[in-house]
Amino acid sequence: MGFNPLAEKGIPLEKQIRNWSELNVQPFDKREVHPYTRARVIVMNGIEVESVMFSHQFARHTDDWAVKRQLALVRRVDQQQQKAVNWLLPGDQSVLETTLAYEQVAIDLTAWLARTEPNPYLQQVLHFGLLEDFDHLYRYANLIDLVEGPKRVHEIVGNLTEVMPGRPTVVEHRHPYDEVRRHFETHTVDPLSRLHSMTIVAAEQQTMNFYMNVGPTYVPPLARGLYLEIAEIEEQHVTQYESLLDPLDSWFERELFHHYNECYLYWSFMKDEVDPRIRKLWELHLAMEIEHVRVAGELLRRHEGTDPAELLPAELPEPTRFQENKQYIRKVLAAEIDLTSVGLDFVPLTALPTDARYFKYQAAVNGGIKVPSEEVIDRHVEEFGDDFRLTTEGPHPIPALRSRPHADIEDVADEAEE
Amino acid sequence: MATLTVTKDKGGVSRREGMTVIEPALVVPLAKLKAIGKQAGLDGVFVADFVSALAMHERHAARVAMAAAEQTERPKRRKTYEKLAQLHAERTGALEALLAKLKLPALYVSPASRAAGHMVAALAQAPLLAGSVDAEGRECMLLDVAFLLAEQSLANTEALTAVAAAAAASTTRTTLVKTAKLLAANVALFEKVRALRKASIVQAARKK
Repeated sequence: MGFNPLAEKGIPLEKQIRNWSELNVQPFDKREVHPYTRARVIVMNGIEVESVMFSHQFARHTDDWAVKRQLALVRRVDQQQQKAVNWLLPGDQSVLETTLAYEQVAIDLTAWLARTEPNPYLQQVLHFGLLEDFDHLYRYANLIDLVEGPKRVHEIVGNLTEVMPGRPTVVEHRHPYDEVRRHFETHTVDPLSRLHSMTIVAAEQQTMNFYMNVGPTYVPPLARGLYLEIAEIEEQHVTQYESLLDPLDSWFERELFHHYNECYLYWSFMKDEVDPRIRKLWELHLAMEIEHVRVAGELLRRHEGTDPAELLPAELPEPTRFQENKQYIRKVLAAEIDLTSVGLDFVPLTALPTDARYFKYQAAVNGGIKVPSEEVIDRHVEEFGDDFRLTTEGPHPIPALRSRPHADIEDVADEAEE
Repeated sequence: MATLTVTKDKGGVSRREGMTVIEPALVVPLAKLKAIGKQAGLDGVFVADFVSALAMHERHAARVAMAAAEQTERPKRRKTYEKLAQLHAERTGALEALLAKLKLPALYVSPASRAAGHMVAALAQAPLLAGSVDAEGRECMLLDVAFLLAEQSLANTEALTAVAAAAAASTTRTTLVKTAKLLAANVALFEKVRALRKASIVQAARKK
């Protein structure tokens, strides 16, 4: 029998508040930490932030004192969880190093979700975002080489994630109309698809917020430019992924699903965590979230007459894991790099008519200027003779994207025509 | 036994429309939906979607009535809500059985039923503003929601009866007529809710 949070006993809510000392956790050593431990920390920070912000939104839609105060209490605990998790990041880890870790999360988390996603459309959406985040890692890796010096990338991502071009960032800028996607249907959705969608929304939203806030902390115009350019793509990704959620779910149902997803991820990450101290934190937060699921379930039962056991699966699905996805990503790159989106669907870039809004939007943001995501590669080539890559599985699967000191936008167009 | 919360695990199936995506294995083929209207001279897809919407209304209404029973502070009112929940659940069962007799999955969730569910859910949001009314106001709010859902159930029964009457002689017609009669035979409680609402408002007015 698998794990069912509704059948478990958590920590009573009134015993969950921690003092400043408990929250001000010892950060991990950035030189010693396993890259996927750092990745799990980043994911759970994003998950807690989403849960907290959702709860704030919910609270703004009710004046029922009993509901508001219960939300406030659970939200405060989630806030504390967010602090305990995010404060694991060490102060000597630079913003760019953290950025590389965020992109490693975006790549290996998205790839795992795609590999295990039961719904073909949702899987395609994940593939689409995956190739874009894959390229962001490459751009930031070249930037950190320029700004902070060599060897930083390998220290952060290890040999777990390859660094090379994905769908070039410069071609990722699409008209906002083309970022909206279809959504799953709440009565038929696989529980895993729901959890995948909620997880990727939270992760991408956290990335968007992070870049929005840290981008201007850099002095070099190139760094500031790259952050703002990629922050815009992350906003596109949030638009894309939030579209996957069925808007039919009520406030109370979504409150329950948020805490259920937190349970699922703490439980998943607990299984694979190699750092015993951090595994204990995942265990503690799981015990807290079991109680949050119970509380959210009681609210749902009282206010909507829905038994949470009727809405949730009998047990948690297979865990979400951080694993190498190198071959999987190479296959997706080879098959889908030339895709763009039109409305709700994906089409080859070469299939767009010349008057497509895509080209107008491209001209509006890229036209007549040096695009930061291209300039960072040009600058790296100027300074070091070539671009930075970290490959372990052979040459790039797209021949045109093998070491090249010329514009990526031309490479993709040429490749698509071939 | 009616299913008040439809999920994939319980057998929820649907058809894609507009913005929704459904796993291919869970899509009810249009041909299957069309088939139920063939001999009856009806638009099978519309009828299937309509019946599915009626079932979804009853499911949500049953849950809302249970929530009202949980929230009311008046014992008599609680009993009324519990009876309403029971009635809505029975009607859900009857409509699920109708879908099955029409050779469709009992838990078919049509696009129209999504809308029907959303309408009930929107009404059920009213008590989220319970903080800005007094105790009497909260009771009125709960009763108003139950009343509106009961009225919709009554109107749905009439509509189903009319659709059955419009069908040509066929097994579909026979099945529709039987279910419509079954539903129409047990609506007294819905009519009582209308009377209860009126009496409750008058009583509250007199107190002041």
